[in-house]
Amino acid sequence: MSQTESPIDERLGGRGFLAWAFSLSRRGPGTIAGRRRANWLVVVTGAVLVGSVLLAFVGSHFLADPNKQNLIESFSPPSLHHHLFGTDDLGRDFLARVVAGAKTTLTIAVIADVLVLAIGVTVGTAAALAGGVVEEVIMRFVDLVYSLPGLLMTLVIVFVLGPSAHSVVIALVVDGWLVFARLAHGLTKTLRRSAFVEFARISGAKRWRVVRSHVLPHLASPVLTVATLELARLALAESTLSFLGLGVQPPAVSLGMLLEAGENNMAVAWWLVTLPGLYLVLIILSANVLASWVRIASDPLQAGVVDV
Amino acid sequence: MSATGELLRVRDLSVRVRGRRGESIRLTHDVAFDVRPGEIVGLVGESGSGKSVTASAILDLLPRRSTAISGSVRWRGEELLTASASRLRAIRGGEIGLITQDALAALDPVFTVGHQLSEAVGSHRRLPRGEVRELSLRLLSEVGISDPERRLRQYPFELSGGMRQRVLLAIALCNAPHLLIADEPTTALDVTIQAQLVKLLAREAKERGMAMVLITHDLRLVAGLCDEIVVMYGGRIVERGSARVVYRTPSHPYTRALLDCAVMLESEPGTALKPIPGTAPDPAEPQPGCVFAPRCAFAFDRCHTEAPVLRRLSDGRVAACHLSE
Amino acid sequence: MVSRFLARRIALGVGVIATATLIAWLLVYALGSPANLMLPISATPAQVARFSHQMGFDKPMPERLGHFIERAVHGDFGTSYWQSEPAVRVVVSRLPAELLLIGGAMLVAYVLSLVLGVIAARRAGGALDRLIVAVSIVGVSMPAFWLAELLIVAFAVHFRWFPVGGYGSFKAAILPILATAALPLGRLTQIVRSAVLDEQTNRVHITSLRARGVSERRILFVHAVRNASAAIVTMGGWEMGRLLAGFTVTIEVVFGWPGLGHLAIDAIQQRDLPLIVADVFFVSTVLVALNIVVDLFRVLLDRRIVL
Repeated sequence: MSQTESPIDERLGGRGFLAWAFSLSRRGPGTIAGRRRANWLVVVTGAVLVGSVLLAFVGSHFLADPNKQNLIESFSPPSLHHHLFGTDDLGRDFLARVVAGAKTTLTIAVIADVLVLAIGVTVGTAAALAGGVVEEVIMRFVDLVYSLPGLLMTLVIVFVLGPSAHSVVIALVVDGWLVFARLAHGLTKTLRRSAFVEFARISGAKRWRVVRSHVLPHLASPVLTVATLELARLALAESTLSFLGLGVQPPAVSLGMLLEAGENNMAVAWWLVTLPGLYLVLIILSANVLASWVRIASDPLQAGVVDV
Repeated sequence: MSATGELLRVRDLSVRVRGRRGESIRLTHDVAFDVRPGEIVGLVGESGSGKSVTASAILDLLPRRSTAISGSVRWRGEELLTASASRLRAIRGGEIGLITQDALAALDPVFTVGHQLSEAVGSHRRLPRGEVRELSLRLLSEVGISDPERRLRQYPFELSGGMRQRVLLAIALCNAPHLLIADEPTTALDVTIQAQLVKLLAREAKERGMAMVLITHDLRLVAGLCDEIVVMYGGRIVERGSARVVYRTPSHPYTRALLDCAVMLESEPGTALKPIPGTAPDPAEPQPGCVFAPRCAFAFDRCHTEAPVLRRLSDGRVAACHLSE
Repeated sequence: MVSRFLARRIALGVGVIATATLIAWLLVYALGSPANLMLPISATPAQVARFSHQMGFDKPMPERLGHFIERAVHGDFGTSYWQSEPAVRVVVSRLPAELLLIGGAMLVAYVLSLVLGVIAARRAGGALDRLIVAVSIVGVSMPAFWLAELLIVAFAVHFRWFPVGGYGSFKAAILPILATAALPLGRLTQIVRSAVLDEQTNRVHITSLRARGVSERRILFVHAVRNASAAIVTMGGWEMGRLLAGFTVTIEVVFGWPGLGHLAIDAIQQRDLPLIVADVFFVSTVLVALNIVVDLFRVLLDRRIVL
């Protein structure tokens, strides 16, 4: 958002600390208390996010076999004594299926996130540092790909490659690296102009060292924030693809696939749709909240973006 | 009009603000001065002296949540600090006009000049559209803007700096206020335009019989223009009196130093510069003693321990300095 | 000035449409074997080769590409195998449904977000503000198709207020529109709120307006909103673009809504290659047209942009 300028700052000639005092006080009383309150919220949402991810990866060891059918028990609703999440149309333990599905979804999302981050940041930083025609060409290319209809192209890619976990990752990566490229490019360009980078260059440091010690650390925070958001988005994208039948194929399970299967029996067995969805929402919601808070915390003049 | 005839009567005006750790920081201390009808008062001081804060406080334009104002501001007998919101709104623009330093920032970028003029009129009076347009055109010509019809349709970013400042002036004058507060109106302009604008302000004040408070750090601007001078430093008034007397025989060392600076800027190249050493005081760290003592060429022991009080001198001035006692 | 801006945007847009369509064509006809894509897995290599020859897939790629471009420029995207109709006609027949869904959703999202965002900004920090922000965060985090399913379970199955799906009555459109509007509504509300807040508290011209005696109401509703609207329109347009870009696919599938998204899935399931390409062409065209309209609005709202 824009720079905050209290009229007082101007009058007094912009004395730095006064500007800071005003920006704090303008955020309303109890800002210090607000910070404390927000810290609690961060811990909770962070725990939720980490917890749901961990559960997905670790839980499968402790739970029943997600593929074991038991037709007698099909469609039993969730109960505390028997199946915690109930069973599906083939009598399979639904809790196991949901956790297995979450594991698949999150695995794909995490892999894609890491790849996207690596590719995007590399390209973006390189473009910004290269400058000139190279930078122009790369960024124009990014702009062009950015303006293509994303999900649609992803569908076509998965279709052409044949639905599977690999093709999903490829398709997601092809679409997803742009955000990081733009982010890294913008940040690096700004940093490049800043004094300390110039100083390092002038004092003869090798280019790579300059990048490593002066540019990359400053990229870390915003990139991580975006990576958190992207994780949620990629998990959602994977679920969307599986929902449409273009993701992993049986016997593998994913959250999207469960949601699609559950749709047919929605009226009879509400839990088959609600529970996988809740898991997904939990991941997305906690990622969103966490990222929002990190964004606010790292830029104190951003008061009013999303007050959590 | 109050019993004693002043338009504006400011007494003990103190502005406090909440600091980083929640403590209270005093930006201005017991500011007091009067403005009489038709009088031009120069409020002079460097950045950080509290002059703009004072102006904002008078019109209640400070952020409400973080500032506390105490004292008294009487406008034609009416106390502004306790006035209702609607009364304040009526006075702002209607009876007291304000122009500020950066006209580009002060004008809303997405609306035309004409729109903002008619809006300013419409906020105080009900006039038929034709009359408002007439008035706008007349005002624009009056402040020296050529081709007013075209200007009405233009956006602020399409005009030059000087023209924007004139537009701001036209807006401030459109409801014929009794007082105009001009807060550093020339600071953002070219030197040549500065003189033009000051001349324009003087003319407007005279022709309309309007009082004016001219806030500036540049003493050359107020020379020959102001009837009364109020010198501020570190949030306090250090000297106040009729312009002629203060110019000829400044009593406070800060005033003297300011005059030296101003005079020197007009002098031959080659003469040594005499800037005031040191920097403006930090309102968050109040020091005992006279607020100007750390930079004063004439300071002695007492100056560092005991803060001088504003004392009335023989020629009707007031000054806060141990030397003048 | 504005017309030159427009001309440049249109030129860029045409480039984007061409690129998207070409990429789709290349993916489908050149990357793998189109014959393999179209035939069932059980087909023998000999059968695949024969089919490939029949369809002309074994001709050199540049030649095929050239043919495609030649015909495409004249509006001929081939015949849909599935519908036995020119692909273009199939896609166009789905346009009204798509536009209704997107138009309806964006209308709901724009209007509601303006209202909610301004209310939240006005009462910043208060209980109502927090509630609105919380709801918008939830809206942003909900998978659209899940929300769609929930809406169906609740309102169509349980309460029976609306039909479960299909495209016919006005009633049938309500749930799909609501499901589609949820995410843009959430995001737009946040944007409106922060833009108006930003304008209201931080801008110098706001203080100047107060000094002129302009009423607070006018400052908020005329000045703050107008200044904020440039950001709002940009983001809103972007959201619309995302909708079109495939976001509505799942919602259309859940509700059985015959839009362009559903068509893409059908085409994929039917392995109808010409239809896929045609669909991509039309989706990107509408996307580009939309972005241009949004840019136009942005410029009209804030003249500085054209410079």
